[in-house]
Amino acid sequence: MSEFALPLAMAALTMLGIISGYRVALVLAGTAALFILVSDLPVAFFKLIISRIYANVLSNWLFVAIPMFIFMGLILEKSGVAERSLKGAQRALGGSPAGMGISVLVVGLLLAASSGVVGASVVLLALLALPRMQEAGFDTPTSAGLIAASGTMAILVPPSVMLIVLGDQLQTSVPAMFAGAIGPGLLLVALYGAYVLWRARKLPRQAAAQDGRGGIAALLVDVAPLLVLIICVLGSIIGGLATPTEASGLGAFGAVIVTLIYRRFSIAMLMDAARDTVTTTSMVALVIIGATCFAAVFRGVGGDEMIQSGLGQFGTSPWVVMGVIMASIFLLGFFLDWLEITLILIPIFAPVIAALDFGNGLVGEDLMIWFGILVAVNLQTSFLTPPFGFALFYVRGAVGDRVSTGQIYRGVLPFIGLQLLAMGLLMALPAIVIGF
Amino acid sequence: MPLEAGMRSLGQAMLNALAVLLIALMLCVVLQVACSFFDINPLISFGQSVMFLGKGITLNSLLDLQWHLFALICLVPSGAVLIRDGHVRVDFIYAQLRPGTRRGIDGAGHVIFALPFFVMSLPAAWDFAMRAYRSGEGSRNGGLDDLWLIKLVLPFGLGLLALAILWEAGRLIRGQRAS
Repeated sequence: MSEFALPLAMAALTMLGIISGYRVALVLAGTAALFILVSDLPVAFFKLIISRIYANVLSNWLFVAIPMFIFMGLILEKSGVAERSLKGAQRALGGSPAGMGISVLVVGLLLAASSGVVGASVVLLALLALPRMQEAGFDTPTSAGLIAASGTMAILVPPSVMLIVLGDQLQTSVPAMFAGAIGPGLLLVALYGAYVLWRARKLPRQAAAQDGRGGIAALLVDVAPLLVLIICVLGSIIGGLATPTEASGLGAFGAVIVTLIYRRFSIAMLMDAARDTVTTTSMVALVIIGATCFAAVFRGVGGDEMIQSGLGQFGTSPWVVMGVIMASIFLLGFFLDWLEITLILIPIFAPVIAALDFGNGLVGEDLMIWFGILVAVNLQTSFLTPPFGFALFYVRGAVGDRVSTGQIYRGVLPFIGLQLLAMGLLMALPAIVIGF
Repeated sequence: MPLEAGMRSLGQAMLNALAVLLIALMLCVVLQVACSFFDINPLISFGQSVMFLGKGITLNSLLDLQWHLFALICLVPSGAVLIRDGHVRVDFIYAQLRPGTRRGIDGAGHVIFALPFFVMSLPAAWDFAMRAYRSGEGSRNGGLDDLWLIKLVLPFGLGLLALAILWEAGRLIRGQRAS
């Protein structure tokens, strides 16, 4: 074990620092700096790290899409356009408990496809949909669980920021990652939907909502511009008409136009969305920089060999190795954010997976996309898993005392079960990922 | 206290300026897509080489400008975000602690993690920009000239972050709760 003393100590110090609550990015970067001093790596190693930060992060044209997709989502949220769509869908579908549940799911999917970040969509859904679901007769845990689960789809459904970073690390094309996430996204919606219908089967049908159900025409007015925007952005990327960066810039611009159509545009709103985007981008960038420092030094002291030899303990059966990798990502997801896991561990796991034959005919980029999507669904699940899932904090933060933490925990359990079921299906049937 | 109010309004002004740059980034992408759609390239040609721009504004200038703006947006606000306590913490334990204990964690973190990082990264980042300056490095694909200017963003942004941490450390020593 002594050959791995340094990487073990490095991992331990990082875990301690992160759990203590100090800024994650600085824990990662500082651990890297300390271990250059402790190990026999030359001090000049940091020059290498700086040029890597410049080349892989700052001058990475693909990453320009990250602030643009965040901006697009925030414009739609801050202008009230997203809220309007949600209410429209509720009016059109909300006549019965089942319809109300499905409308939350549909709008969650729309929100997910219009923003790349989880926080905003969970908060918005919780604020708007929780009271209506309770009125429709759903018990509080189920309502909270559905909201948390639908909200976390933003991390999986393109144009997710996570898929961009994952694709970058796995050296797969981002359009292919986006295309690969569509089938799994629809699978999850179908599973959630089936569960909601099952929960709603015994609930009494409400009298039709009083506030004038406008039917299909009103629904189109409320939802169509958003839908067209999403279809244009994703379609142009997956169809190869535009690069992700081009589509992201046009998407943000399109979001501005949608706010103009709805007469919700103002300079103050635009600046507010832009300021929040700058803040979020800077937070993400600092974590990426910290993780880049950490990953370089961790490999320099033999961390990748440690992890590979650790995996070697479990034999050479491809499915066992896959199971161990997925289980460790799931467990680490309790403490680490998707960004750290993606940047530090995925480059170590990827060559291991690439060398395996799963007997499903997947090789090369297809294999990496399938693996990447499995990782994405796994990390999405970690957003939902008590006690530290981020989505749970967002629901709690948004609705305050109306829902207890215990109710939220109980509510998400069935959805975590559905997530695991979906992961099993995706492993058994890679066509769901690769077939599109 | 006036110093603190000054720091905060400085941070706010910086965020506003960067928000404008973000909107410019969006428009830059739109312009670039429009120009490549209508096959307009170069957009403007100059007779001779102009500082920063080179011999004209081409599609590649717009592409370069996009990641230059991106680099600014990534790094420059870091210090201002820290002052507002924006950077990500895993706070399920931290949030339960008494203010004194939290100050202890932040102070220890500054010494154990932030100090070695900045001691090593600031000189390395400065060297990195200066090497580009001395060699007069420009775009390799007919984009924007004077690449050292954008490489200077690294030591500048990290420097602002280091200043923000010094400021916070001063507050911790004086015993005020980190905001």
